[in-house]
Amino acid sequence: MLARVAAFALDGVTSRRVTVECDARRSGLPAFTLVGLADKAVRESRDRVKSAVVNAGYEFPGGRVTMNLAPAYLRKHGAGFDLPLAIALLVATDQLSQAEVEDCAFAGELRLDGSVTAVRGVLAISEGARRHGFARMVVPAGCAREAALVDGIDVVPVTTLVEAVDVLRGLTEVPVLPAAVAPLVPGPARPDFDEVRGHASLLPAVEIAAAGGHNLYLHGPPGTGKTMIARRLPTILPPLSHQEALEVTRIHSVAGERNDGRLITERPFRAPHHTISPSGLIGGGSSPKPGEITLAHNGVLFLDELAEFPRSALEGLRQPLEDGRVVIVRSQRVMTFPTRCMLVAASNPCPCGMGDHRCRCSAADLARYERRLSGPLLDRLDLTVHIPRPTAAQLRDERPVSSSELRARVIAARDLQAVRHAGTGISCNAQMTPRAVTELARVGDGALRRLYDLHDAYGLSARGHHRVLRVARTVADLAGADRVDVEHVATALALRTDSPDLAAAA
Amino acid sequence: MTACDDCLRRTDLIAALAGRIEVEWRLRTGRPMLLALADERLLDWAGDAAVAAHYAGFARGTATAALDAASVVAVCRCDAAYPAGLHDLPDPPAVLHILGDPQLLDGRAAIGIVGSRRCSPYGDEVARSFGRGFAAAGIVVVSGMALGVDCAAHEGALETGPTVAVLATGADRPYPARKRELHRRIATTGCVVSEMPPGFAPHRWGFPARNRIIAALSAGTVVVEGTERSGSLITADFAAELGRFVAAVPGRVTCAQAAGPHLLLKSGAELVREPADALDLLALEHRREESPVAVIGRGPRPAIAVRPGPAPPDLPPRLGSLLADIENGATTVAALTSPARTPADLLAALGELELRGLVRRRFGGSYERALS
Repeated sequence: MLARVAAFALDGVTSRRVTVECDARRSGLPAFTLVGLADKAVRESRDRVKSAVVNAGYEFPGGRVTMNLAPAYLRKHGAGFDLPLAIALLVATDQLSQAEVEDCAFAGELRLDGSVTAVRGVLAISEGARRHGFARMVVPAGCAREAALVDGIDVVPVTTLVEAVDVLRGLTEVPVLPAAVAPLVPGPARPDFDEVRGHASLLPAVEIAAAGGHNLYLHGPPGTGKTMIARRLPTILPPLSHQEALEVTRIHSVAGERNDGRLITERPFRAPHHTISPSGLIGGGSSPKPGEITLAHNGVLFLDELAEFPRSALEGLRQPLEDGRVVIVRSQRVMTFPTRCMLVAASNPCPCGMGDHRCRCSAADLARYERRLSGPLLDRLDLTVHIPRPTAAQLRDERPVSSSELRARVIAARDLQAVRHAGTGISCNAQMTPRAVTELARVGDGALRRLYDLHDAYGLSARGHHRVLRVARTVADLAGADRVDVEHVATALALRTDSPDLAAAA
Repeated sequence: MTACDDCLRRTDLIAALAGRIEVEWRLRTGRPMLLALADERLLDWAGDAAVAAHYAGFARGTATAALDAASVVAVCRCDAAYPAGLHDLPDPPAVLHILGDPQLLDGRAAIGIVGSRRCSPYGDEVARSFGRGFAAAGIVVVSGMALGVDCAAHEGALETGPTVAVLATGADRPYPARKRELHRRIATTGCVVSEMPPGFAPHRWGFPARNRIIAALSAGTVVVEGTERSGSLITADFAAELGRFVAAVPGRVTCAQAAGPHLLLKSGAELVREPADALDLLALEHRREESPVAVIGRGPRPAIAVRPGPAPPDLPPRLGSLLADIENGATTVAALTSPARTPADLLAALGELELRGLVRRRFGGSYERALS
């Protein structure tokens, strides 16, 4: 007879419904075919399913078996279809009834002995099942906690095919969800800003960047703390909302980055090495996978040694940074990944890294470096902070400032922004369009006039103009001011990113 | 304004021998005054039959066609229009190739500004203000269009008047190439000159050779920045040998780029703080002859304040003290932070000073006192 079982295929960072159909006949030459645009891992399911069914003690039909994954145009990959395929086979051979599997969706990889193991992206799958109105979702126990992060659907954790069948038949109680996997060894303590010493003078700039979500450019010789500061930025950004946490967890699960089933509650921090390929950074591959910028969604993407990154990779970052999403087109599919992150880039003042009078670079070296830097990305970086070597006195005497102290001020500023931007789809000042700047930023006339004075004197571009105003708005928010005043514009100006003039500045 | 056959042939010969001279230069077998040798001696020294044949087969038409194609005017040392100052050299260029306005070389007062290719923001600022100041006073600024100080001097001069660039390559060939826009501007309003024919490629020996022309075209040379091994010291040496004044702008003794000027000052060069100081030197040179330059030098000083004047009277005290700190050499936000200034106030104050045009912000966020 014909059986239908619900499953879900990952498509980018979401899932699409797939109906697994099985037609098993007692007559005909023995054969087992699987159709429906399945990739290698899915085609191999046939052999796993056959062995698992037999080894679990069920009967495998002797006649012709045809299985189909519908819709046929959607490419399916991964081993997550093993369990739905096995269940469909059991239904088709009357070992289970169609009614028993009707309200249920399935995901899981089978081993030859009939046990069920975890698959990636189960959060996206269970969200899909909820969207399609399924009451129950049978998933491997190994990733059941992750699937259960979705409200409104009963998650049934199973460890073997037999267990799954017994639950469906109502022979056994639905197993309880496994307890949260407590880390055996406590992870390294979350970094905190109070470990950063000697840079108290730079904290206001970092605070402004965090408060407005502005992309940040750290400029300074090696070993002065650029990476240290960048790594601590997530700790002063506002905590993730539940919705954001789900987004982050879903992305990391789809990418196979994390599988302990807990909701990710800390903002991600991604620091790809500069040898990364464009598709590694932006996302891609023949079956597109999220890139580093998507893994940094709702968090911080840190590009150390900005000048060393391949130009093509940086070029590709511009659009995603602007739009908050990246659209990846491959031969048969178009995929959208979210990319709303804060970009932090760092570079040395010159190729040798020493800067000022200790520099040993030639004029030609500097010219080359300048060209690489002034390239595509610099004008997406709203704020520049120069990080010099701290003096011994600064290292010794400065009062450390904790992340929580900074975060409290950032949250206060973000609250003001949320009220101002209510209903506009803008979540922080960095996302303001030029129109939003004009309509919402409330820039005082005096401040605007002074800024226009500077246009002529310093050749500020239109893009630069709006960037200064966006940052000025954040400065005013941090000060609790309703209007953007001259002093706020002045501060934004002192932090602006301009094009390098290394020949004169080295 | 023309060039005779002999001089054009000599220029052609030197261009043909450029590779040989380069080898000699790199081997550093003493410093033969190759460019002072007569044509026959040069040919003997080279001992190259192909070059000798080339020399013998020189055709004026080919040379002038190349000049016309590059819109370059040639004036040789036999011509009356040849800049008089160059005759003071032991090895004056046979032909001076001029792209742009040749009138600038007709004997009016000129001062050379030279310095490091890798100058500090301070050096850039000073060179720019000297260029601007000289040009405003009607003095022709002569420099080498190299990166750093040279370009800053040219750019400063172009704000108020024409300027002369002396190249080591052909006059029509911008070097460094990325300064082609500056090259175009100089050629449009002033002129670009070179000893070598159009299209001539850069050679190492060409740069010191170029420096002797800068020194000889100028009534004096101002060195802005450079290390103790800087090429600008070569220009200063040439100027001293020619009896022109040599002046240097002091810097901080801890800064490597100030070592060159300080070495010059130690050995007797004049100390200049602003363009007017250099104009005084010009006036001294011309005291006996009543030249227009002397009038400029002796009269009331031209209204070009290039040293930072006193802070504007309406500057609030907090900005005044910050400005003083920047003038005293603290350039980064970290260095400018003090117990009296919170970092957040400091950023606002720095932006305010920049809005008032009193400081200039450099890439990466360091500050320099702006000179008008």
